[in-house]
Amino acid sequence: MEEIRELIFKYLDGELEGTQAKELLDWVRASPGNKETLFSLKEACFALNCQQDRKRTDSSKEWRKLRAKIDVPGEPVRRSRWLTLSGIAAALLIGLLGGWAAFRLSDRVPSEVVAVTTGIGQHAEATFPDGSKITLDPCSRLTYSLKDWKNERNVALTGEGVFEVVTNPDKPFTVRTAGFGVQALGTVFKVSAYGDEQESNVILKSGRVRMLLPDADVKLAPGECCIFNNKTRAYRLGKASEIDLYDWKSDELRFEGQEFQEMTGSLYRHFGYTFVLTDEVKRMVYKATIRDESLQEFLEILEAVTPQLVTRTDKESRTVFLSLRK
Amino acid sequence: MTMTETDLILFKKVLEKDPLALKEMFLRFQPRMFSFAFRFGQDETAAKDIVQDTFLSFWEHCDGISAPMAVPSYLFKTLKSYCLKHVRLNALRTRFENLDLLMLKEMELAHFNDARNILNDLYFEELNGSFSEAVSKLPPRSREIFTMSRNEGLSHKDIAQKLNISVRTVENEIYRSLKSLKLALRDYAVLLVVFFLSQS
Repeated sequence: MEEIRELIFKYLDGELEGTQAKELLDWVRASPGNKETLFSLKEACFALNCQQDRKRTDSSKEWRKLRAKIDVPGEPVRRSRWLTLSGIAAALLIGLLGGWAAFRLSDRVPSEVVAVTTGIGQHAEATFPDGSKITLDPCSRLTYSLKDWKNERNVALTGEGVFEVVTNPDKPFTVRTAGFGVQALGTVFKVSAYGDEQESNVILKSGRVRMLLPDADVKLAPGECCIFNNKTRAYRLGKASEIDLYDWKSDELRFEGQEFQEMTGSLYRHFGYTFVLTDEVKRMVYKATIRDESLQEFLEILEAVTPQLVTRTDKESRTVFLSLRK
Repeated sequence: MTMTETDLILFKKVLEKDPLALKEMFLRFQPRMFSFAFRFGQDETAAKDIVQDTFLSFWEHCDGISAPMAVPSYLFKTLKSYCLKHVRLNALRTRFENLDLLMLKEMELAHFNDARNILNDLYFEELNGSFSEAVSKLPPRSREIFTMSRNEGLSHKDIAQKLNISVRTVENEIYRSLKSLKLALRDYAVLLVVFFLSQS
């Protein structure tokens, strides 16, 4: 009891600490009588101090404070001269700030559209406001509107990139290209949509995406790819190669058994040189991986494995001519 | 709740948005409302703001009150809700470190129900009256101690020093004399005295 009494006084004085509060609360909850005791004491404490507390507050001053805040019907609003002046000052300040803000905003309007662009041989990584990521391959351009991002996750892509999308069922992530769209709910996928190539493709690594094609919606399963013909607008589904699935984010340029002519686009984007091939060279097939090799080194290797190949480089027009020795 | 004719006229005028009537009501109620809020939250500045907010909110919303006699009840309820808001905000700021204290505070507010409305003059005077009565019935020496404490704000230690006796003697004497008064007094007056006795 002695102990509880001490807690009660501490409570009344506002000096009760954490563990003590628990102790007192347990005591109060133990019986209705205890509860009555504590709060009756509080009543008494209030009655005891009420007179003394008057000294701590000036009622007339408090009234003037209140009077300045309340509106009385039918009474014109009174304001002191100082307030009027400060009002004008505030209006001026707001005007100035507003002007400045408008100036800053006009400065900013174009930047509401975010664009990530890569040049020849360049790669870029970007993170979207929601944490989704893209790795952009050479000669690509990705744009999205920061303003609309709050409502919808829409991005536009020309070129190639790997998307890692953060799941958000309420807001699907949509990639739009010239020919088709890809809608994702939280996945990793690669979109290749260079306008100058004959075909575009989408490869899905994990999760689920929906292809928004001109006249059909197609779902892709992990490991599948969708190939879209940019001219005929036809599409077909296929299995993605393992290398495509697991090693698609490197800066490498791979020859995997395609005919040489299919590689000219990639070669241009990698080296910045246009490859002009004779018909025989177009149909040649190579397996090769280009990492840090320069164009010169690449051509030397080509010549080494294909003794009859003749290469000529025109630096002015940035063109490489390939032909076979007769 | 009993109130006089003049009170009813005053509250009626307040409801008619008469600023003079509001002033009169403010000057009458503000001190005890401040004391209530201050003793509740132990924060002087906050208590002043709570009373200001209470009156402001009352003035803005009193159109909805049709019976003048409901004014003190409405005003007290508003005061309590601002007190509650204050302690809950405090608890939130400290990330509910002391949830038990918040519980106690909320129980305390609930204790001050309509029958214990400090703006009800009958209750308020009874509370004060019981206190005075309890004090007046004390033996002269104990009464002296009470008066010293109440009017001069002295602690038991100070009183003991001033009267040149030990703290224990002060307490023992008051305690003994109070035992005989216990039955004649209302509960809270007894408790008040006990509270006083034990404070040192």
